[in-house]
Amino acid sequence: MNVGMISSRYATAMLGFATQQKLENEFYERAKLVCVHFDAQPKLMQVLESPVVDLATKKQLLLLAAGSKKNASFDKFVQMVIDNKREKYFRTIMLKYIDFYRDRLNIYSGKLITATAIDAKLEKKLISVIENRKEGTLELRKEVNPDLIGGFILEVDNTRWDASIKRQLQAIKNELNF
Amino acid sequence: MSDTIKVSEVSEMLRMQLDGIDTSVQFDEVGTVLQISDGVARIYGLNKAEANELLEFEDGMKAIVMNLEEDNVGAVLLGPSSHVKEGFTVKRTNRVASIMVSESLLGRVINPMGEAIDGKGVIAGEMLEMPLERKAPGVIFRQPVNEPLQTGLKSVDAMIPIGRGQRELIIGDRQTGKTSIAIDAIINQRSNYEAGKPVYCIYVAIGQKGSTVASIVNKLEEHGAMPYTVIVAANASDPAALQYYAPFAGAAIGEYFRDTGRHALVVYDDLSKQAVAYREVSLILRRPSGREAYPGDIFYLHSRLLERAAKINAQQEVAEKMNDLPECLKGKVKGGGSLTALPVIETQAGDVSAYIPTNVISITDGQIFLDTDLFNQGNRPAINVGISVSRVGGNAQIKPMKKVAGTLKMDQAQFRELEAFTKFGGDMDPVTAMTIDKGQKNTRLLVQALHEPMPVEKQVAVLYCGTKGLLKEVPLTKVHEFEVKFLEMLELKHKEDVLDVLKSGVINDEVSEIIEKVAAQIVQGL
Repeated sequence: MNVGMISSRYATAMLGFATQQKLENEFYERAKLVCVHFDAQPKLMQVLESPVVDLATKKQLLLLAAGSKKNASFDKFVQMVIDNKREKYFRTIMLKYIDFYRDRLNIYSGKLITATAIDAKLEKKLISVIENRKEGTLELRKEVNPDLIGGFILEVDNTRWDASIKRQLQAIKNELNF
Repeated sequence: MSDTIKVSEVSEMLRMQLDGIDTSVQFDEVGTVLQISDGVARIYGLNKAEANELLEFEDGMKAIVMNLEEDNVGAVLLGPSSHVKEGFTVKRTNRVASIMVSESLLGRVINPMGEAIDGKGVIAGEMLEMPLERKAPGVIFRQPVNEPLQTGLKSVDAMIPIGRGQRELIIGDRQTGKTSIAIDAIINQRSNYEAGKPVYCIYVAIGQKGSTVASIVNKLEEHGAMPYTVIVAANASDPAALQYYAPFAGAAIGEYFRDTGRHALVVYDDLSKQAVAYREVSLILRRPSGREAYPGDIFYLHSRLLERAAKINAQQEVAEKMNDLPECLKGKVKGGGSLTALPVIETQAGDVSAYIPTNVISITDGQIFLDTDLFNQGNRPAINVGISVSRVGGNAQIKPMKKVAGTLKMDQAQFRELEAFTKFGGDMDPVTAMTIDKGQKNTRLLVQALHEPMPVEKQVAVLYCGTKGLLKEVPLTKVHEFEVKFLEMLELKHKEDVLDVLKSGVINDEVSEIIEKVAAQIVQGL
């Protein structure tokens, strides 16, 4: 069963509603926050899928995941999802909303992972490389991961540019069947 | 020990290997694991992923795309789910699920991904990448089944003959000898291999115990069948996805031989377990379920697999244009090859009208039905002649066999019916008594020991005695003794004038006369 379209339909409705209320940016920030919480707490998904947990608790959890500040319009949207018993699709609805919002405003997201913290000059240089290739606004997240040993990994939307020492060593290891 | 390892040589080799490794910056299309459950991962972000594409996780574990939805991609894992966590990155490989195939697979035990699991090291040599899923050859690239595939079993070769390119189902309850028929058919191909006209065999073990697979490998090794056999094993402990893909891997290996103008035999043991594995995967992927909770496309699963068994057109120019040829086979295609399939289905309490058995019966070109009662009575192979059939194999039977065993199937079926009636008691007229006596003796003649396939010329000679009533004077208990002595005599004294003539596909009055004379001689001596 293609349940994927459920999330898309809710996300489209959410974007339309948010635009009408001039709250699309606010919703975008909340959607990002919800996704962060879903990533950090995999059990949240289990709770939403559980038939034992009552709907009021589920709603409370979703609102909490969307930030402590209250927003009547967002509350209304969450209530609608809960009423229609589609709470288990909430995460993908948020992900789809983020995609739709970014598409509309030509925003693309990026993630830069380096082995050590990089200075502003190098960061600027990397950003300019991306911006020269792609039109629009870049939203860049930075992460330091010493496991990379050296080099960097740059992710732009669904494309990953892996120039890390870790990957190069892994390629050698795979080739030599270690 | 130290003087056998030349450090410089090893380093040089490593250096050469290192030179060939591409460590430059890599661009990948990646997604994130949203959810992981029982062998299925839901991935967000792989917008351009294709159906059946191979995906790779950070730790090198592979998965295959099965569901393409608007907001996520459902992929089945080819390894343990515990190695993957939510939030992991997955990358596309831009390759559809495939298996590396070559002659070096012969004699090896592999998993459905083509990796050796027999501890004999890595499979080396030039390999061709054959896709697991491939469309079956179209009508114009096929030709009718006209060449026999001898199983070495009297009851099969005489009454339910199998032709090269045919799909013949072996169906029956547990412990009725289904696997044994398939193994005998593989062992019987040894003479072809030794004569330089090999029929390559692929045995696909699905959802079986590791120990069962090991004993099958030993059996084949004991009988010298491994040099022309590949075993593909997805054991009961392997993920459902591997069990689901195992028959496709077997078919891909078979197609390699088929499309390069050679003959191959593939045994799927068994498809009921593959159906169960597919049901498991489908339910986790939340596909709607139908009868017995199987997904709606379970028929298509088996039909597309079994359609790949075919006899390819012998005309080279036609065969070369075969549909959906993998890139690696272009320029290597030869006409006249064949892929014969022997799927196995296990029934529950003899119920052939269950969902999967009826599906596969309708797809295949006939079935060999094995009966628990016959098995327990000592009639082995326990083939129920009444409901076993071969729809196309008759055309492929050699002439002498056709002539000798033409009426055997019907006679045996009639005998079974009469036998049932006589159980009520009462007097019997001489004609009925004779039919029953002949039937009982023929039944005895058809009994065959495990893993002792018989060459077709000997089968014809023995069955000639049975169908012509030459065993009239032989007591029922001495039928086996007669058979042994009769074959010994033919082997010793009439190899050239009887056995070789029958083998060449000829039966004439001269041969019949000698057989009758030898039989009479043996009967007198008993």
